[in-house]
Amino acid sequence: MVASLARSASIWRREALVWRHIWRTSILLNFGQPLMWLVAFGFALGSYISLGRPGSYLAFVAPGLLGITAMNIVTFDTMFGTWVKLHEWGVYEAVSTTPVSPSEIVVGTFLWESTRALMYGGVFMLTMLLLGLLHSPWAVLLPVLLATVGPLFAAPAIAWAIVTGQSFNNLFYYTELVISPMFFFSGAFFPVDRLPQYLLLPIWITPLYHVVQIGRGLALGQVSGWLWVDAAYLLIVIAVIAPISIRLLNRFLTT
Amino acid sequence: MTDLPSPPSPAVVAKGLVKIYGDRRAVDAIDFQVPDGVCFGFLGPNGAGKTTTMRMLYGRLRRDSGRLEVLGLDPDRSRREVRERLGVVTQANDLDQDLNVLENLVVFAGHFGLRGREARERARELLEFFDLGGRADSNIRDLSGGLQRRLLIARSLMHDPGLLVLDEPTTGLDPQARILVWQRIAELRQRGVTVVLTTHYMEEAARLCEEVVVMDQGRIVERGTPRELILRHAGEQVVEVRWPLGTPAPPTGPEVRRIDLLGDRLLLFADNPVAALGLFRGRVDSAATIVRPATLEDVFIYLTGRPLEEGE
Repeated sequence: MVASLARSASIWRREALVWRHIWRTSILLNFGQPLMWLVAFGFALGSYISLGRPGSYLAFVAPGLLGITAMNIVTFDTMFGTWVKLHEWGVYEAVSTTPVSPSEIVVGTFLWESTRALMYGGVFMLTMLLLGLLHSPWAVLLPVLLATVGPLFAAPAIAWAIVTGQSFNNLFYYTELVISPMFFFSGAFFPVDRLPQYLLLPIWITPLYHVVQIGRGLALGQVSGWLWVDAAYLLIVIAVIAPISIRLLNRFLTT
Repeated sequence: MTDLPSPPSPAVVAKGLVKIYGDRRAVDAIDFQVPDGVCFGFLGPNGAGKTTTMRMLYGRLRRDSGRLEVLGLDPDRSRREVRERLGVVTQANDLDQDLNVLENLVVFAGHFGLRGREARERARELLEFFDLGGRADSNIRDLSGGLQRRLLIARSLMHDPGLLVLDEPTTGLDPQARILVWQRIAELRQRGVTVVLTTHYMEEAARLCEEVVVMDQGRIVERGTPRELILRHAGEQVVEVRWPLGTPAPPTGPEVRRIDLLGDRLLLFADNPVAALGLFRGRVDSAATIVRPATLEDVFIYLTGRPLEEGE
């Protein structure tokens, strides 16, 4: 167990080392965008919006944008990174001559993506704190949520990067058909409880919905027992998809 | 009490090793044994099954049947343990393009549990050994093919493996780069590293390997030391004469062991080249006639260059 984690940490270390070469552009790209959303949606659009409930739209949308930021941070890096390491450069082919197993590669990737979500999400949280958008001491639990987002969105991105095969363009089916709808319809930008009934179930199934629910609950101090249900659902999604991505990688690297 | 040293167990033992792709037997029931401390070569044309065999050694491919032991372990069952003790250089250039030269070595060492200063020192040592000392901070893209190949071999040695597997270590390199790689492999051999390599350069096998097997269409068609194979199939000397296309069949006689026609050149395998040439007096241009020692290349062409008998 410890030895296995040490091998996963070696995968983590590779990613951290690569990040050290590119962190300037990486921060600019990955943090500049959510900051822009916060200004555009929160301040600009928000001044025209009344939610029909107490609190500003800015305070409502900020935790949603935190969840979206974490999802994007993890999804794009994992999907493109895994695809390149698998189909283009043979990085994992080389790893498969070493004692590091496919499951350890996947766990190492999870660890690294949690780290990224914590780094970039952490900066976003700090911005929220400075803008007075963290209304509750429960917000100290937000980093736990960010860390969970690592495996939550890395697992499906790894799986898709493997099954998509040699075609780079196929990667975009996932971002366009899965990530984009989640972006718009997971309750990040507007409360979903007034949407038609038939939309509620598909929304409830998306992991991002629960990330946003938990994030908003912790940031605004609206903590209820339902957050446990949200948390449990996220863990179930991880427990289902992570083994799938491990199996796929295993099949790819041992034939 | 007497302390009898036990004979060193072989590095690799394979018996009836089979790998099937669809309905093609890529490796078709081969037997071989790599003694500890030797350089063992797999020769054969492309598609003969050499790479498939290498991949079974480090558990990248699961064998379909047969017995395989690498350093006393079954690579399918004890994949991790085998890989811990093995250094592998695949045919692909799979250096990590996101990392520089030194980082490539250090990160790889990390996969074997080697970290920190120990890993960096080992990396510097190996960079020196492969004449890459000044390139520690270089990008991979900026290295020539020969330098990248040397870095790949250096990378496979970071954890001090007991057995080195090199799949076509010099394919695609220019002659200078190839000779440099050969020198390093020869030095590793002197340090007692067991090496298994595949190649289709016969000079490479003749220079480096104590024992070779020749593969063709998934089977081992011949085995022995390079010297044995040359004497068995080619003899000491070869006479090459010009034999324009369309010329009637060449004469034969007891003076010649075998005659091969390669394009417009006739190869006469003969222990006594003067007697062999006697058969051709007046029929060949003596200015275009060469007498040279037989090489492994002659054996290779003889063994793999002709169509194999059907139903064999």
